Amino acid sequence: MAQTETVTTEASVAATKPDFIHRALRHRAFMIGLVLTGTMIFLALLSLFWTPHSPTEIVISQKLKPPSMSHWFGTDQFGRDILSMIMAGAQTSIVVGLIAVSLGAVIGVSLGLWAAARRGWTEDAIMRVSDLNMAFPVILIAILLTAGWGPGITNAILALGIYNISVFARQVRGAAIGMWEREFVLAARAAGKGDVAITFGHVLPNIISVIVVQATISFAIAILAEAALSYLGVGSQPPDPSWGRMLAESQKYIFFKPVIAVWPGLAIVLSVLGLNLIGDGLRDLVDPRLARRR
Amino acid sequence: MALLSVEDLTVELQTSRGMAAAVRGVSFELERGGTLGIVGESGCGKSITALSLLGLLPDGARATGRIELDGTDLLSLDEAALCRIRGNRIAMIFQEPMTSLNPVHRIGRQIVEPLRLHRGLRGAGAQEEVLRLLDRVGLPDPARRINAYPHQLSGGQRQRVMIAIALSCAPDILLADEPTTALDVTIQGQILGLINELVEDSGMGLILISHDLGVIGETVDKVAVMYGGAVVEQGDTDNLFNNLAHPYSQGLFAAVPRPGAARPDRLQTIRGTVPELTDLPPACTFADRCAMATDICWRQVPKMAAIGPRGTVHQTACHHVEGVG
Amino acid sequence: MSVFLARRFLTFLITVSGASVIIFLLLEVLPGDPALTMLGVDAPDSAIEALRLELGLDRPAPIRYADWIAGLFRGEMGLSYVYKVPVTELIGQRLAVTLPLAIGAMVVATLAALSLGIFAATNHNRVGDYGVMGFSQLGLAIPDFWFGILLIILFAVILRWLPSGGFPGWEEGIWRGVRSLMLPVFTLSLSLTAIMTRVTRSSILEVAREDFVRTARAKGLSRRAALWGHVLRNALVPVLTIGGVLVSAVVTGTLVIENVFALPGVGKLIFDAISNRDLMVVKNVVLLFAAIVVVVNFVVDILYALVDPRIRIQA
Repeated sequence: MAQTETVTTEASVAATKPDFIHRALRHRAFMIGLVLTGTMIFLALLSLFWTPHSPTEIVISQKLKPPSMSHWFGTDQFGRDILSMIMAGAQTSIVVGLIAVSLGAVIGVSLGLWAAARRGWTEDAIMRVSDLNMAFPVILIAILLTAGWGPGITNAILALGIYNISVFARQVRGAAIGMWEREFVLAARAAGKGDVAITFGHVLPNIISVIVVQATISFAIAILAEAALSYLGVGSQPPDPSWGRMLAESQKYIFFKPVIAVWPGLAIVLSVLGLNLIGDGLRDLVDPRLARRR
Repeated sequence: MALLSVEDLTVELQTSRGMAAAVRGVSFELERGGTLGIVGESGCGKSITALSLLGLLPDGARATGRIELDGTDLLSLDEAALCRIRGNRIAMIFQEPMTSLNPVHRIGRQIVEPLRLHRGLRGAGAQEEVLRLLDRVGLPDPARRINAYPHQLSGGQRQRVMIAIALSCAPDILLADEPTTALDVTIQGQILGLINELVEDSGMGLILISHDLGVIGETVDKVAVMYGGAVVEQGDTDNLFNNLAHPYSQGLFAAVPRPGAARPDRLQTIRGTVPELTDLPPACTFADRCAMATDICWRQVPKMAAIGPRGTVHQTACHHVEGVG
Repeated sequence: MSVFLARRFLTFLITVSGASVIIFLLLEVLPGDPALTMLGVDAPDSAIEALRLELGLDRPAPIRYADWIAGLFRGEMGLSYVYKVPVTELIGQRLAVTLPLAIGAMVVATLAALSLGIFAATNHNRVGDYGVMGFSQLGLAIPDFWFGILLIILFAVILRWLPSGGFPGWEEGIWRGVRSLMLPVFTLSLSLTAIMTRVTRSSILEVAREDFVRTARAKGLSRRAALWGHVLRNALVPVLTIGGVLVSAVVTGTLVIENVFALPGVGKLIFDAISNRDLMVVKNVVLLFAAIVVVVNFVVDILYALVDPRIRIQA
């Protein structure tokens, strides 16, 4: 568009590293996201060594206590310390998220790159399978696995992992096809490089940012999904600490102690918000042109 | 009094590095029925100048100076008043016919819009007028095309539709921003011919914006050459083309291959590239690329001064061109 | 257009058949003996043997699969092992809750998202825009079941305006039914609204930069007229896309929300079926849900073609 060409040309200045860090530090939403996510990871790590109380220790005499100096967030119906349970619950969220996203990313990225490199029927086949996968939202997969094999946290991980495969495959295929049409790839091709060399030498390095952004957002979705599955009883099982199951149990006491339904929910919201802010921020930061247009 | 008089127009745009002047102190006049060409490279501010005449600058832009249409300063008008002028008294056609029409509406509906808005035409009357306009701009089989979607027409046909839209309310001024650049060479001639013919028949004024000197030379009476947001030279077309005064104009014209030229074997270029808006030299914007530049060009903005023989209209803004008394 | 329809329909058929095979494999073949799954390892051998005969599990898997599919074409889904009534009947009863919930949430979310998205886009980079974006960022991060719990706390526990859950049945009167569905619908629409608002807003901003919008303004249309006459319809395509994706979110969302509010819908049915190990119900309900997701995507593809005349030609 003629009227903006003078303004947009400067966006072609590639993002250099010190510049990236500088801009990241000034990106408020991104920094808030880093702090929130950092806090969550820190609490999860800390809970491996220390929690205020044992997250699984049942002290019936202390049940349903309001927040106090010794129990900052109060206690649940078994007298367990809610803060300790939330800290330990962060472990579950992170472990499920990490495994599910890695599983989906490794297989999905490979399939996406393969589809983009080969095109033709290979691509068609991969995309049809991915269509099929899309017909099964995470909860349906988890239901099938639970109905067939009985409940367990593995179901949640597998369901999320399988679902993420098609998410990553689609995203990566789209981005990779764009790369295959760029001049430097055509040049590499003209120089006689093979599909594999081009894929790993030129295509993959240029779409890493797409993958990282998707991974961040998938992680956030995984935390939400794990909580939902555990809430429904098809995710993590007692006595493993889980935010979702804490909420399911708190609902039984909603008329007497509504406040215990607040804490685990806040933990989920802040974790997911943090990851989403990081994801959005990264997208802005790696693509300054898009950032300005928002 | 001139129909349109632009005085010291300056437009600042928002960029990531703050405000930058895209148009700097531009002045020109257009008589009723007159034709003016604005020539320059992309990014020289010619399109922004045109958009500021319509009050359609990008968000966050700031325009100062005066733009008088029949004595009314357009820069002081509110949005509602500008809406009554746009498409009615000043109409515009754009560079990209492929993207300038709404892809999801039929052609007829897009032409009816200004008719309804400014002339209050509706129903059968509007329909009839659309057919007349399409016929006038030489679109074959208008009765069928009226129901076509833009993607069903070729680039040249779409540009004809754009012209029909611009023509619909018999404007005083037609702004044509690179109207033929995106078209095939054979189609370019037809469209330019059509614009010429319409201007002659209707007596509307024309401001033609182009980077193509050939197009400008064939079409308009007066020319303004822009560089870095400023007009560096302007005058009657013949005068200016025959006595190029400003170093930039000379460079621009030397960069065009001419079959009959003295040294056809070697094409001249202007050294360097067009700088970013925010990086333009402070005084004469051409100073960093000009072979003749001296200290003064970096310190003092050159003023427009008349040159050439008495009785001719020709001005330039350069410290190194002698004015004529 | 007919070629386009035929191709999309073929993809749709392949996807649904694929889904049925996967469901069958995961439930009845891979885990081993379905009778054992349903009765548990502690059940006496005689009971398992009896169930095996009752369900026809002594026959090979491909035959059982063919039977299932053939039954579906006759409109039969078999008997629920626990309730001893046809699964179709169960689903039919439960849809009276699930469908209004899903459709209500979709309608609420679409209306809210279009208004908020348009509002944010027209106030781009101003307070209103930041407010809407902040809300949608929060809406994305709040788990819907927790939002439901919070609504229960506010409207049922503290204010006592609305029931905390349960559903009296439509025969108890439309109003009582609607009252019971208000919180669930609102809960389910939160995340949908958040996502669609973002898409609507960015799509409008994107289209507003198009050349043809500048043409419209150059004709003399006001900002508002250009928005309604030229921007919105073009901006609708991405909103439709995401709407299609979101239908699967709605479908799975009903599963969760019905459990939050103890609504006797299909979602509750399936989780009860899981705890009762009622494989017949699980198998058919999951297929139904998968089919709904696929059908909606099929419909969305057709809607595109209606909104954007260019797609009709390309396909």
